[in-house]
Amino acid sequence: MLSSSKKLVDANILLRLILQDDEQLFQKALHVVQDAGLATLVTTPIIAAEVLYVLGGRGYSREQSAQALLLLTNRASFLEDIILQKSLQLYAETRLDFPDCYLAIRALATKEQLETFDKPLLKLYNRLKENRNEAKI
Amino acid sequence: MIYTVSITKKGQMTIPKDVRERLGVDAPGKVTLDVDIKGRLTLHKPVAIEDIRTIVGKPAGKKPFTEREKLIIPQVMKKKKYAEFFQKAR
Repeated sequence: MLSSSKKLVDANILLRLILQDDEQLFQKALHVVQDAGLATLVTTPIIAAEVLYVLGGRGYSREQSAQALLLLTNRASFLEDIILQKSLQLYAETRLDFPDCYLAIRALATKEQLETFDKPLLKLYNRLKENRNEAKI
Repeated sequence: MIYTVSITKKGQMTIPKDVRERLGVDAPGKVTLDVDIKGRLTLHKPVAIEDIRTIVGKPAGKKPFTEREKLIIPQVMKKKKYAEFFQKAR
């Protein structure tokens, strides 16, 4: 039975709200957020990755793309996802792909061991692990 | 106006009622905290969605392809020297 009050928003809705390139769709997307109750809108790392990919293709820098997503989703109507937020901040600050940023942050937050052949990712992960207290992860 | 507020063991602090009213934030809800390099904390009402595009600014990364470029690129990329010329011309 589908009875959750949560709403999973897709990348298209988030993109229309950020880019505001289609007035009609922007207004529709705006209503989705404005009409949502407290912490009812849900976004996932896959949706975030798609938004970052599209914004990158439109010429937005990593910092701009991450900032846009953080500004949009850090509001009362969105369900708080600390791992996603930290991953976006890391994406803005490093040169790693978003999935790598997510993996590193998730591994630290959940204490899951990270297994990877990716040297830059492993280096970042170890650095974050050493500075865990400073990073407040 | 400067306010001094207490912080609980859990790290929670209470935003004075008149500040909440001035910012127009309701509880339960969210506010944005900015900490600058000098350790100063600024509290904001969450950015209006309509203002996000302005705050983020115009695309600052790699120049996006124009509609004309999207049509031309697949053709010119077949010939390397034209591709190089095209990249320099952008």
